[in-house]
Amino acid sequence: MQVSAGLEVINISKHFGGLAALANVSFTLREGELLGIIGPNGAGKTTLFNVITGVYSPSQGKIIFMNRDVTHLKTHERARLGIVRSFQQVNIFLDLTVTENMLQGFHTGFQINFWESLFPTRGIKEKTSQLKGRAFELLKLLEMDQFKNEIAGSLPLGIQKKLGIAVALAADPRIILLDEPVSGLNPSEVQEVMDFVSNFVRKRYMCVIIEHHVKTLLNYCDRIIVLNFGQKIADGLPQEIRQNRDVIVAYLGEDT
Amino acid sequence: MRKYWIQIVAATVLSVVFIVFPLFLSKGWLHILIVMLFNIIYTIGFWVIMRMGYLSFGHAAYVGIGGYTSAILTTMLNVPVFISIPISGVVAAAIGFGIGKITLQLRGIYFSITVFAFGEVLKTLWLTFNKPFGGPQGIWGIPRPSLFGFKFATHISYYYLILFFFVLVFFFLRSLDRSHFGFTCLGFKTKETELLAQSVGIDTSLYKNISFSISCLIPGMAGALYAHYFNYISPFVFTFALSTDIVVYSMVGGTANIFGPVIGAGILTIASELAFAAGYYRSLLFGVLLLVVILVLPNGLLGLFRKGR
Amino acid sequence: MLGLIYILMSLGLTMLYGIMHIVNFAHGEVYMLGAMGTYFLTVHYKVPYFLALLIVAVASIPFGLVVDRVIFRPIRGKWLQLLVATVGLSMVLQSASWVSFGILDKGVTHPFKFILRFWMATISGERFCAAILGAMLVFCILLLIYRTKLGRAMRAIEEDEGAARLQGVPPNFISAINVSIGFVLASVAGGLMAPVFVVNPGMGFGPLLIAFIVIIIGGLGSIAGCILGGLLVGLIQTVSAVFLGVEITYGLLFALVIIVLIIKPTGLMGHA
Repeated sequence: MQVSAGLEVINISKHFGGLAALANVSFTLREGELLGIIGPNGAGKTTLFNVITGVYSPSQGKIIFMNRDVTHLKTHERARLGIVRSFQQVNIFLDLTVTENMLQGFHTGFQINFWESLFPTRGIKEKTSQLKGRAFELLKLLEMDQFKNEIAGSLPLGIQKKLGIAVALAADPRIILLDEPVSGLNPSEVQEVMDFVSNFVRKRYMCVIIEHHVKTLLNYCDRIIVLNFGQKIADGLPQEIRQNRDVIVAYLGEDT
Repeated sequence: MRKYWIQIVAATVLSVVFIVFPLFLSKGWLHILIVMLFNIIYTIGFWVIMRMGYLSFGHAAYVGIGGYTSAILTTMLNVPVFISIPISGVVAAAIGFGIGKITLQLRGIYFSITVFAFGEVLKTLWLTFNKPFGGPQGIWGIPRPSLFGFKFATHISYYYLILFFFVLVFFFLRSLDRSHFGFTCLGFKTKETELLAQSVGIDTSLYKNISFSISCLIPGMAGALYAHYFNYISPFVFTFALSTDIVVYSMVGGTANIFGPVIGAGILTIASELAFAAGYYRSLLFGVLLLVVILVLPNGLLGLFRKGR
Repeated sequence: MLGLIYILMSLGLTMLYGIMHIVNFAHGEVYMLGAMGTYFLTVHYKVPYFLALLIVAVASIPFGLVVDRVIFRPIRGKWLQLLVATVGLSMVLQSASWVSFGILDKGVTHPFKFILRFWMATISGERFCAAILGAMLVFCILLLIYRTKLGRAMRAIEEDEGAARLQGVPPNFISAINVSIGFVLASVAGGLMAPVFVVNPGMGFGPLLIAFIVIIIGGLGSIAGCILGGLLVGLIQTVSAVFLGVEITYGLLFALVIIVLIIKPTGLMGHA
């Protein structure tokens, strides 16, 4: 009985000029797993996400998603297959309202062909209402529904970060890659978001989280990978990582 | 509900003003209105990619491509005007598509200066080659269009022709703005948000290229209509000055919705005609106006009526 | 080989703006005003040529500071508004000049009236002087950017303004300095080129276009790219202008732009 491997990252390297941002990173993510990626600043965590989502092409290696080689697909093609991410720096449509942001996220959910989209037909209006409803439900889960008509740029940082995650979820992912989803949030917000991830997100989608702050991930993730200088230096259960010498050395002087 | 009443009243008033009233106007006035309509059409075409965050500083080039194509088709190849006009639009759109493919990957300023450079190069092309572009003398004797025997020879008839074209373009672009396509395009204003859009599955290149082609199609056809109105074109019509005029109209009016360019182009064309401002004084005035608008009213006149955006 | 030096000069101007990320459409007009200033000083006030250059250079500093304070500072960071504002400024400067200075071309005579012969090429005194001084200026600026503390501060602001501010670098001050230096370079370039070509209020446009082409080809945000691009463009321009004529040259240059953009969208040495 073959356990379906959702995401396989095979021997990925990425060079920028002479600098190796990633070197021979490999791991596999199975359905139902919540994977955490940690490492000091500059370890290559976001670069790894960029390679997985197609923002960068790898200098070497392959990405296989649901048994399909996606290494040469463009970002939006991978998104349509279900690889969706959120961003480390707040990245949302600042001059649109929260609901409109969600509608952009629901783009593939509209399921209309391109030519239909050029004209505002009744069918589209109905779909829009429908999707606005779904957006509202999703916002409620993140306790942001009261902001639904606010302009995104006017919201406080914590809410903006949550919006970033909400938009990613709206895109109907199979795997969601969260890049430092709780950085910059106060402790109660951190708990809120991580509980949401744990209770809602990981039950429906494969999920990978990058976090700089290690303690958070140790408590929530099934498995943790540690990157340092572009290389994978550890891969295992949280309690193993907690005691791993190399990891401690890598973080020496950093906040653990 | 009240919103609909306002729209109906406004539509009626506008119809009277622009359809009935001109029958009583002199040729001089009709000429001004025609030029105004041309400027409005160029500017709303420009607005299609402006709203995506791309400032095209060489948009006069596409007006010119349309104008020259139609001039050549009708004077040298005897193509009927009403066929050559759409063809010219398509040619402008096609060239725009090609340019877009290469330049839309560039961001912000670099896009602007590249399309600016393109506009200049095109102008030198028209200046240099006497065959088929007529060089500095341009092309003369461009015919007025005829439809089923009726020739649009008078000012008033051409006015209605342009008005008709404007109304078509206006409603087409307005519908585009409100469509899903238009909505999606709002997400591309910066590099980061474009990446965000891609991350949720939007093929941003496709949207950008199509938008840009549309924004070249419209001025292209307008340029053709321009050529047939004046019966003459030269490289000195489609210069950087025209491109900047379009930008000024757009900035003054505001870019939040389709009415911005209409208001900006409309008001400024009439105002500058009334003031008999011409040549360098006009440039001076527009330059000052541009600076004032940027520093004081960055959202243009529309910004006075709407909050945010 | 002379167009090459001329490009070297204009690129010295563009690279400064590479740091500030302000693409300044009015740059051509500053160049033109430098030339105009030189003309007025040498012809109407009988000031010796090199002194006139110096006066023009010094005068452009306050001019730059004012422009920076009034126009650039309020809209820093908003590239679209900056770009449009510089276009507005350019329109104002150029049309005001047309109105005030009249439409006739003016000429400036150069103190060096000799002619040099190198291999097969002849170089007139004024071009030679412009070339040497221009190269010297660019060299000085490069020294400033790469070897001084001020230059480090400038580069820091370019790379990461937030971090630079944390280190105590005052962005407004640096911005003002950058703009002033840029204006000085532009106006001196204008003064240097005044004896070579004719002086009229529209003379800034051509160099501006070339400068843009250099930026795009050489690479966005890359100083080395600017230099490389400048050399390349200068070479092509000189060769092609001699054999093919001026108009084709522009077309050729733009064709090069397209080719570069297709192969490497960020320019020859640029980075996204």
